[in-house]
Amino acid sequence: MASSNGNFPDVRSLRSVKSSQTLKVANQGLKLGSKGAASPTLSVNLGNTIGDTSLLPTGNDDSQYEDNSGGSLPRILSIGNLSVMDNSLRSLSSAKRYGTASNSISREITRDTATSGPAPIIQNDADVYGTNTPLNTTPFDRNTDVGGAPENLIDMLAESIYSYAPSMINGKSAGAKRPYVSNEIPNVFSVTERDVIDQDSNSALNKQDKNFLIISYAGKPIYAMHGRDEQVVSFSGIINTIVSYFQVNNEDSIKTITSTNTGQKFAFLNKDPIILMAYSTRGETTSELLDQLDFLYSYLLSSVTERQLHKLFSRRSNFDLRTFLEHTDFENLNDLCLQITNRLYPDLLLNALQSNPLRKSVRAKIHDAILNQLSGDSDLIPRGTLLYGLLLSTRQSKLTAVVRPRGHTLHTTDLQLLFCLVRRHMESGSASKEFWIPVCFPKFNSTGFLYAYIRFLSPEDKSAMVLISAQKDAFFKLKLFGDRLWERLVSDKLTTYIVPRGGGSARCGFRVRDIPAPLVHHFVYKSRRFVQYVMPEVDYNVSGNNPFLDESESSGDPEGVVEYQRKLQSYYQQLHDSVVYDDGDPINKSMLSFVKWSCHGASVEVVGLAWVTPQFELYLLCNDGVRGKEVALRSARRVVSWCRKHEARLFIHDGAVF
Amino acid sequence: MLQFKLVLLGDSSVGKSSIVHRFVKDTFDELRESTIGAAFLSQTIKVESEDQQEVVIKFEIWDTAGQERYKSLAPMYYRNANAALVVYDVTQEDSLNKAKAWVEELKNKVGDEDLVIFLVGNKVDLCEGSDNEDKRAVAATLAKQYAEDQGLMFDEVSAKTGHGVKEVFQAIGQRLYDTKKEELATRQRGNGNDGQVDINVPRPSTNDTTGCCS
Repeated sequence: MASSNGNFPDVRSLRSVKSSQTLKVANQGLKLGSKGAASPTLSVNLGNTIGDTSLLPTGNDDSQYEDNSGGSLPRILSIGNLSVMDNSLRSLSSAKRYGTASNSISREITRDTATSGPAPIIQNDADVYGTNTPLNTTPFDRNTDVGGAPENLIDMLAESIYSYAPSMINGKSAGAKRPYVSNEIPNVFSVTERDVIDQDSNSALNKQDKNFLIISYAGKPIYAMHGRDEQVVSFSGIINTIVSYFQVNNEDSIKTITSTNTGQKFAFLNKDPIILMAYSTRGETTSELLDQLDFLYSYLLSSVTERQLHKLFSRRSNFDLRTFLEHTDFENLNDLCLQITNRLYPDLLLNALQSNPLRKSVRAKIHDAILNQLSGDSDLIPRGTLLYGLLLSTRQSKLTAVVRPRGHTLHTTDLQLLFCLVRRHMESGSASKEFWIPVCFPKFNSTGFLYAYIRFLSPEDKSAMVLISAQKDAFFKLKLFGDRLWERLVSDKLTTYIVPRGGGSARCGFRVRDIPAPLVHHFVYKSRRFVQYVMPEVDYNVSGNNPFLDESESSGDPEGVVEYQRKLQSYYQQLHDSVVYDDGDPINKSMLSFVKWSCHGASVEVVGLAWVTPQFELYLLCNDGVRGKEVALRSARRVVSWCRKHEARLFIHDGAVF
Repeated sequence: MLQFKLVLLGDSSVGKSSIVHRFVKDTFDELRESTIGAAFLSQTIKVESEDQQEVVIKFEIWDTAGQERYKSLAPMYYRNANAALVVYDVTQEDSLNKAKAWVEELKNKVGDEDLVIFLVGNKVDLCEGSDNEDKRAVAATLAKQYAEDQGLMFDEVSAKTGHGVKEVFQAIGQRLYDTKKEELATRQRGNGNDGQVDINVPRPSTNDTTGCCS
């Protein structure tokens, strides 16, 4: 085992990770019973609370969420300090996680220096974030470094980097001054070949920094993100041996193998008769990898159903599932793997859906229209025909409206799968068609199919209506209902909100610049209550010249957009990791964690912040040049108060309940 | 306007969706995803009546997935069909056998005597020219003979070049019009609607056998 390509670590490290307990499915996804090395009490020992800092904002609206978060001030739990030498390095965290530092938890990065470049320098926390160091003593090497400046100065500086430019809409100058935030956020991550799924060439599998394999219990390959059959077959034998070994010798299944000196991680998901394995050097937590594997497994179920799967394998344990799956399934799996690995896709990380911001009254009108149509058409679609209905935009997988029976909601994973399915159909350029698709929602009922009526509302804006029924011949009923509902929405003049025209007044998304929080590059805000998140539209600035480029307009440079999204995703993934244990359990109910990435060789630093409370989770990235955590915190407070103020607009509360 | 229901059946990847796409959009997409479940779309054509007048026909088309595992859904799509396009791939011999199986199933399960079945060999562009003749796996004469024996309409088309696609639908439309016009005339006298069927009046249910075209 240990000799196979050198990919597998020695027995010692193998033993250290074998402990695992039962999987508990909770709101936060998979929970593993076993804790990491750090004990939860660490958080209590940390004295570096925000209350101690002299820069605590004292505005009235700042106090409200402190009260809500259990009356206690958030604590700075960890100040991650990640150093990378240059872009040729691979993922960031072969870090020793959560060492027992006295005053803060610092992450030290150890890495192989096989690639050229200077040895990594591990910075000391105290240099940068010493407790209440007078910040004006910190050397400023750029005008954007506004460490300890008074707030009005920060705003002034912020304006100066916002660089007011005349807004250009449709080529005409609108005259108004609109600030924009530079999207030039440095990349401290390695640049590997992106967006390529390599299933044909003979190139070594271990060159990939991430891979997913699905095999059957009998060792037959089912799917591999990278790698040809011949390569995968040899691995499947090893995987099978490892998984079986732990099953025979322990009551539990093996979860991960981690090689601490190379940063390689293998995660296993044992779903008899199928085994899924993820390989990564990107430093994800175990629970993240297991969530990703569960997502892929859920896709398989959505296509095949669990009952069918067990039936196929019970007949012949060496059944080749690939003969049963279709070309589309493999395409979809490829798409999901790309989505997970190379896109800005916080959905899985946060286990939440992205909602489409809409004025509260507008959303209420849409929901009313749906309910009225439903009750008016009760002769057409008798109760029980419609299980669930959605209006969604697949451009960034955003949910606009929901109609559901009282007491029932669909599981987030099921909806994520549905979004992917709709997006795939949309991309295949079949916007003029209506679809009737059998789909299994594994978290709802993994044994049978439901039927989804999918109708595209606007090919340009990728909006769709989805109506779900348990009856396989309900297509025409749902179609007629969909026709009438759309007519009603048109006559109520609500369609502009559901099908927003780019750049129009009814634009649904928001930009970072819409929020009075200076120096914020991008953020993700999740409402725990609604299990939804919002984030600003991704402003990708292709040439650095046109700040008003939409994501859609910038399609001339998709690679750049992908690269940018991938970069954001890496930052968010590490921010998220800074507030959870390896098993996905939160380190503390409420906590605040700063992470600072720096890249040697270039004078580049990125400061990020993760703020978790029982009400919300905020992950925020500051602009290039921001060095001080106080600036980050102040902006974070403003983002949070903005999100709370607009909660009714940002999130779907109940939906149309019938 | 007359409405007819049309269903496409056949083995997977013989080009059903491409034929529909050529008919509706007059374009061809080389890398088409396979259909999941079924797609529903509509397109109108014009046919000539006996007195040289144009009659508009609207096809409601079910483009079904050819994959075996969706087979159990098929009856829902062909149950009320007026016409069925059974497609095979002229370069894949087995696809004709699948097509024959579909024809059998249609004859057994669909009660409508007037159901128009059109056997279509797709992808003739692949075996055009003297170099590519060996790619053909199903001889046109063979399929034609089978079609004649079974009383089917038959043609070979190419969704890629567009060769023959429009003509297939045109022929189906004409045939349906010819067989239904008497029935139609009775209906028109009944509701005095001078040739126009009001499509805005929702039909009570599509499974209803008393619809205009059953």
